[in-house]
Amino acid sequence: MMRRTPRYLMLALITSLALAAPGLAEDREFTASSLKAMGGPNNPDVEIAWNRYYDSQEIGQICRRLAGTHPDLVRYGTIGKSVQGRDLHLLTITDWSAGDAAGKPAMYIDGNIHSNEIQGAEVALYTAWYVVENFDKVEWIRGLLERKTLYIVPSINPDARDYFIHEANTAHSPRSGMLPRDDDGDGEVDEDGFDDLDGDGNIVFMRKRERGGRWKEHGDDPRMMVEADPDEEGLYTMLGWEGYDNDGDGRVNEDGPGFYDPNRNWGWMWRPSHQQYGADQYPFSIPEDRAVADFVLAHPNIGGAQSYHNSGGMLLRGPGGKEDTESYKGDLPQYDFLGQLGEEMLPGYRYLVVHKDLYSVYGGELDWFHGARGIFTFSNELWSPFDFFKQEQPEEAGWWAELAMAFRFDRILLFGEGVVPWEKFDHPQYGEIEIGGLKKAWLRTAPSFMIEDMCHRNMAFTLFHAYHLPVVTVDSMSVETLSGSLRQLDVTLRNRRVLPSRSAHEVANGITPPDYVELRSAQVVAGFLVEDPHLDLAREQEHRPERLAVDAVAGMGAVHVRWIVDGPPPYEVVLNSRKAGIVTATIR
Amino acid sequence: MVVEGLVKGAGRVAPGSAGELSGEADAVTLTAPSSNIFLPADLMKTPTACAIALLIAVAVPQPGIAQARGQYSDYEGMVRELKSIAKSHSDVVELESHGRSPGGHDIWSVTLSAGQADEKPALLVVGGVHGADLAGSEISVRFIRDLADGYGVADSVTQLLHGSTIYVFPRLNPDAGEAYFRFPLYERRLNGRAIDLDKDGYVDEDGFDDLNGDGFITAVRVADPLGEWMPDEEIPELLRKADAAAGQTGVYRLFTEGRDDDGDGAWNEDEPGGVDLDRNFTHNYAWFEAGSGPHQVSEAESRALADFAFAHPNIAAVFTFSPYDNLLHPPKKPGAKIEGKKPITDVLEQDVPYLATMSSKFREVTGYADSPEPPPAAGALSEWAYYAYGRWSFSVPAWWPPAPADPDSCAAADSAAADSSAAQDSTDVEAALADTAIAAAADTAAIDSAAAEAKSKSAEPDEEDPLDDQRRLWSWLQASGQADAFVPWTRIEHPDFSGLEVEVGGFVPFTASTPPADSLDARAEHYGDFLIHLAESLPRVRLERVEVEPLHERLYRLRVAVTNDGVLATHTGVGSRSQWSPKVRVAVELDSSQRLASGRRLVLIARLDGSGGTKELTWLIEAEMGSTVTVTSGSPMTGSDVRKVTLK
Repeated sequence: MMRRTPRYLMLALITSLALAAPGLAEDREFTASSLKAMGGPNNPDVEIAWNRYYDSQEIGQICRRLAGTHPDLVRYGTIGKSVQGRDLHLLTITDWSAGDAAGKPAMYIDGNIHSNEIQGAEVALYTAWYVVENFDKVEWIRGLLERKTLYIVPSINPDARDYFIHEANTAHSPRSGMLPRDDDGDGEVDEDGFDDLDGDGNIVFMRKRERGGRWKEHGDDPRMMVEADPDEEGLYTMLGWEGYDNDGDGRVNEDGPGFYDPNRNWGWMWRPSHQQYGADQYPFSIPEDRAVADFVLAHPNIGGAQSYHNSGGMLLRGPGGKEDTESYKGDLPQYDFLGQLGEEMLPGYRYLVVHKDLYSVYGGELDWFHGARGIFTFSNELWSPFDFFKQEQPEEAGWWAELAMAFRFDRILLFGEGVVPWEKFDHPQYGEIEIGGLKKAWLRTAPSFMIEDMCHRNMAFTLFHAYHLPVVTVDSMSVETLSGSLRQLDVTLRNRRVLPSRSAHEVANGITPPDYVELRSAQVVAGFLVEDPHLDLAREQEHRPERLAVDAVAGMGAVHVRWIVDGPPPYEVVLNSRKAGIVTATIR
Repeated sequence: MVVEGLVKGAGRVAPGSAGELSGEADAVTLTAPSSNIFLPADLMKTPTACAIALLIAVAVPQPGIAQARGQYSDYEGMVRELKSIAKSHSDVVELESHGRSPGGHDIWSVTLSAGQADEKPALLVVGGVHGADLAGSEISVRFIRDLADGYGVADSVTQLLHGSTIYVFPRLNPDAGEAYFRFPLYERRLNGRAIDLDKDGYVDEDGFDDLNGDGFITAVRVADPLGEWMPDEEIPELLRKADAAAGQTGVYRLFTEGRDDDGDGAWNEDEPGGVDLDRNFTHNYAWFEAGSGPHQVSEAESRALADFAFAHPNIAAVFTFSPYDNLLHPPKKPGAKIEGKKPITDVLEQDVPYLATMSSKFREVTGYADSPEPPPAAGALSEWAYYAYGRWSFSVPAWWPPAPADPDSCAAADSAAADSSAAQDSTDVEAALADTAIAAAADTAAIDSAAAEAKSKSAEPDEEDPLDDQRRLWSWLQASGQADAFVPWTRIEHPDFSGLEVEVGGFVPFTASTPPADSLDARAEHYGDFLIHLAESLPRVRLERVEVEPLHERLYRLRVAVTNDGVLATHTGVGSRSQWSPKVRVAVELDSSQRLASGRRLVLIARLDGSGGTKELTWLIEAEMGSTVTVTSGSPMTGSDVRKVTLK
């Protein structure tokens, strides 16, 4: 015993050190304030700073801390491992005292599939933190977790998230995961990526001052480059991102880490990479994507999903390809309802359709969720041009106006922190050049003081999405005595939420088993689906009448079933729905 | 290819007790459980197909069916065979497992190569992917054995294994393959994953049932004036759909043999197992269909194959045993053009001539000509190999019933098969029905709708009578003394149709796809010859010309002609656009005193045509007179060539 004690102490010490990681303050005394602001908890059990971006180790720490502190609401797990062996952290959140997670309609939430689009992980983490800290304080949250389950995987691309955070990158790289691939078809793998020429931790632009260049400095901000007017002489040639021609093939930075697009690797409407750039070898050849797909296939209670990206301020739904419009047709009222709600909750965000409003793209995550599993799915593109100065931007303003705002914002609100000013560099291939431009943590990601706002508003949208997953109840049961010992039992099931128990696409394609309404403890003579209770139109189910197969309980709608039974009550009615859960009622 | 010492299945004949398997023998003889009569395999060794056609059928008028099916290896037997080959030929054979099937069988590959395997152009051969394709699997194993035995003995084999690499997956779906060794016998396509095929919330709850206890899953017909089926006019044992528009009325309902075990009004709609691997690949994948899997490449077996293929970029061509036959049914001219981002759904125009060439070669080498019309493919491995993997892909059934009493086909068979073993090869009559026998013998809504869909998907209207393959099988069985391979319609009591006239009957499973194993000798030899020819046809890139032209004592023009000597183009039209088909690299290596005045150090070529397709390249090099540069060219798919030249 004596010898063991120090070990325990040691373990405790290590644990507390781990929990005291950046952003996790331990001392509660100093965090309470006199007046609680609406929103975040005043005196949370787990203190987390929402003004920075966490790497995958810190995300794991936060997840475990939440689970350790709220074991009645949160369970920590993983859905698998990344290419480089990092855990894909999973938080399963529900009110376990009101039933197991698997038996409740569930919302799946992830972020960061594109490794540089990091803030989705923070929104996902904030969601977990907010709901468990407010479970006892906000009645709406308590009701949500009583009836619904949240499956939260903050980052589904942790390798490249860490690579983005800890290595020199642009705001747009690496996007891919870290599975090595030969991008340029020369038989070599990842042999010519960016090079941080000046070793400052940033990958920014290279420019060369020379006659005949077609670029010039912006009139308002010389740190920003714009094209010279058609009749104007420029001063600079833009040479792309910082780097060398590492492999001497006459091209610069053409084969960095990756490259594939993890969001083109999903099975629905998947096309080979010679037709869809980034598709990789075959659907779910990317281990992280496969882990998500396997998880979703193993959790048929998932009826809603959100996959956070950046940026642009969008609430995206599929289809990604115009050819796939039919798959969404029957489910548009529900998508539209949620999308319009989101536009109201997220100023500057627009509810858009991928193929129509952006471009046609195949093998995306949201399309697989909807197309292959019938799950109502949105991808929010976090951080909008609106966020710079809280002004709607006219459509025609475009990319250059947005860039100019980023520079302006940097000047007057970040005091120049977000931009590397142009500096000379002697490049072995280009000669004397200059290096400068936006840092990776600016442009696509919110600055520190706006992160919490972004997290909360997007969370609220996603929680309403979860709220509107079906809640089906037995609305009425009535028994009528027929001739002899025969009785007729009529049951109405009602869905109190907007989303149906099975999407129209799911029903049309028979993706999942139907909802079954079963009558137990009774001698069933015949069973019916009542198509119109007013006109008393019923359709008999000839086979296995005790277990009636129902397509779906429509959003805010009802299903009427009927049995003719030999013998008196009690009768027990059980709805067994993959996505609406199990509902039981007894008539005596 | 003739290799002495060919090892035939050294199996013992298993005792014919009901459902019993010989687990100890290297090969297992399957016998019908309810019969005490066995047809000796020798009975089928009649001289030629024509001769057979003239023979009076030697029918065995016995209830129950006797089938001497020759000796196929079950999974254990196959593994023992592969291990024994690998052990005795470790210089050229490597056996490797790529994980396990859901049924707990390892997924094996065999690499045949002398020297560094992954630096030579390679042919990938896949057997046993299309369900229980024992014949394809058997021929694959024999091919392995013949190459292993032939190395160092037969010059053609020795040369082949020095110049090329052969990868073989002899049985990609071992779970399905084992169905051949179990009773009741049915043509299983699914692997061992438990999947709720009919999506009713229950798994594997309504499989086939051997209602008449003969050990075979055949068909059930129920006399019913409202039925859609009627006896065929030519062969009344066969059933055809009544054509209402032509004034015909049906007299039967038709099902596969079994009960409605779960009382849902459907018969045998959720058999044990999960995924047909030949419907689990990406091209034209059929979502949500029973047996296609939860998504593309979802299974351990299909993923093992795909991962292996991508990990071996030297694979230039893929050969698959499957009914999706493009060797005897090559694509028609002119072929498709690439249109922007539109999916490629037909063989590209630049590739069609090469398929035609290999098709003629296949006919020439094997003498085969009469394979049945291939069924439409959805998610097939062979199509994935071309449309997604971007390689040359060839496919043919391992075996099929020859068209009987057709003078043309007899001539073809005669010319192809002079010896008696080839003649039993003409007893080859069963493959065509791999798919159609069940469809003929059975009806379920699923089968009907699949057929209807298949028809609507095929580009050209299918003029062929869907019964043709069955008639052909029937005639061949009659002619070759195997009339008992059709279970005569016999009355039974069916619990789901009590009081009605119900009969069980139809073709014995595997009759159309799997001949007695010991009748495959000629086929194995012919296919082996073709596969060797195919491997010899793989692209081979070399530097045809390397010339130096001095412009000045310090400036030289280097001219290089890069040529493909292979019959096949270096890349298919798809492959030339794909990042997964390594391009032909042509690199000029300079020392620090030399400089390229024009041209790139590294040039990538996306495609060189076959049989001498050439690309000429030039560089201007500033260098000292008498100094040397090295030019290398090639890729894993094409082999490589290096030349050192002196500038002068």
